[in-house]
Amino acid sequence: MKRLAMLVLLFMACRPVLCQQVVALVAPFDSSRTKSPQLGEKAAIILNLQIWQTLRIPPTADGRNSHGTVEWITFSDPPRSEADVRKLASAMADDPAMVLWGRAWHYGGGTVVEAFLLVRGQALDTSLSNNLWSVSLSPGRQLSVTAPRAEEEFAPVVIRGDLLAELEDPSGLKLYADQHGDQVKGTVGDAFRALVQAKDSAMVQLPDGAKGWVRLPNLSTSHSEVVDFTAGLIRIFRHDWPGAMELFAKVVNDPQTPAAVRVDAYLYIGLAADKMGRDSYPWMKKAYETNPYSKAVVQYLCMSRISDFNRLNPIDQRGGPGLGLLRSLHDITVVGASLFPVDDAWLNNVNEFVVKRLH
Amino acid sequence: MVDGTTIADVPVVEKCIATLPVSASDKRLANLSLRDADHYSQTDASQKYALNQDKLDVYLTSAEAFRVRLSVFDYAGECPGGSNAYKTFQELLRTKAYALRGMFAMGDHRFDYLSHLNLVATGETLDLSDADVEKYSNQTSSLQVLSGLCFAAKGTEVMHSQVFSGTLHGDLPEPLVADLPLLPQEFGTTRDIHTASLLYALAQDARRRGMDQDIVIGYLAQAREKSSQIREPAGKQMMSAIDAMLLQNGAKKPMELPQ
Repeated sequence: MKRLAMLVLLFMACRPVLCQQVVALVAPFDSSRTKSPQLGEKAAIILNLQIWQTLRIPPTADGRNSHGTVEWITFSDPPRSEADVRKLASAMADDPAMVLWGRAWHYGGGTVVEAFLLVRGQALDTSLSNNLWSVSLSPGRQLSVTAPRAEEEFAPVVIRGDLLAELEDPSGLKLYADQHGDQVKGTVGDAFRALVQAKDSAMVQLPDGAKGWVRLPNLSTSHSEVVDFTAGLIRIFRHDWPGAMELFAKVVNDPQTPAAVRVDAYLYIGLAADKMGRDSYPWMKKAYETNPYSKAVVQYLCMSRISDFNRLNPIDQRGGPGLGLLRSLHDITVVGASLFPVDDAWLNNVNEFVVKRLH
Repeated sequence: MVDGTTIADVPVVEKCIATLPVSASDKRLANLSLRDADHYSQTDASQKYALNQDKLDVYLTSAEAFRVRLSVFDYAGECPGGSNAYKTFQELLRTKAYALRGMFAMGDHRFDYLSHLNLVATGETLDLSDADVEKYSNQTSSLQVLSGLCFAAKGTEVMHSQVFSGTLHGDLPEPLVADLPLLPQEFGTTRDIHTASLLYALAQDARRRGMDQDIVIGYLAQAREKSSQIREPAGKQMMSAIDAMLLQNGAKKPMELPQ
């Protein structure tokens, strides 16, 4: 059995040559361990719509021609492992750039949802982000990095007790007649189209044409970084740099955000800052201070220093500012060398960049 | 061994043969283990053998195998919710073990062996001395042996978890002990402590096998990230052991980055 609901909003008529579609897929969460299969499916729909609410047309630059899509697809068996998720994503015609998936547990008298985000950079057109970030080493030679982590593991979400009854109800999510009232028109089934965004709710249209409102409450009493991080990454892939910074800032400002997610959020903020022509170094520094032994952090730190160097005018490149950046880069590669395989090509390129300019 | 009790201790003689003193009518199933076997080990130490067979073929290996088995003994105790929580906990560990490969670059095939990580529930409570746990760990090629106890404290059920890493415990206490309240909001800590200690044991095993330095450090970097967010005392113990091992393995002390 395959059911599909696809939510596409903020569409714009983009010319096919320029149009880049960034698809985020939200798979139904596996809640077989909670004896309430509906719970995982509904939690996924709520997260899906919450992410969809963050979609916007990038205000500037080439991302204006991109197209953001959040898809929700449910199968009789939700994916239970990363391998399942990869298979699912590969089978999708739209080749999603990322897949949000997860599982629910009954634990210690409550219900806990684990959410994961699989980042499939290779699914994207090279024009946007196969190489997420490139800097020039010399004319015709580029140095690139990909996403810092292939899979993000978010902090577990403890489902609010007052929400459990509705989530466990075997019928679908309630469809309300209006945004705030109590009149229930029915339930949202397996397919619907989201039409209007509002605070904590969304207007949807069912296949029979019926319209109504779905409430989108926070799943947990505490803030979760799942939506902000996923939406931030969609914005990164759409080149909406200010928009991405705004959402990733929420992620890093949340004290509950796990260290690994926080590190990656800093890296994405730094990347967005660099793309906006700003200094990315303070953000890479924060990532380094959080995990100095991460290879991805050292790579992004190097990228930041090289990008800063490239922005200098030729006189400054040869003078004190350039020398300072090259020495900093040299120190970073010396201290970080043990994080890379022996004779790593990426690191060798950075070393060559430094040596050529210092001598 | 039958049901955890040793029923015979026999020498292995010429042509690698041993004779068990059991009758042909003995219908019990037994585990076999090797003692003083130098670098030989059973390829599958968890296999059970029917004692009424005329001949038992036991396969050995002399290779220093990757340790990819997590042996989980039943948790003891009398918590009303303990049994369910323990099952959940076991399932959580299993899914975590299966997911570990995904924490490292898919294109880096040096990590492929992680896809063989597996959790084996022994179905028994642990009744062995620390020395015997280490022997068990070596004989079964276990990366870790886990056991524990559930008890009630101040109205909350608490899982007292013991993680034995045997010869791979490094600077961590053996066993590593964590008292984890059985509350939904503690789910993350429970998950992170066991993931971090598992990554630390993998780093130790990788070092033992002479794997590349960046692999050892890669495990430790991930373990450190997890440990840094654990407020439980075990988190601090792990951070300290991880930092020590990082330096022992050639990772340079982090820089003080300028402003």
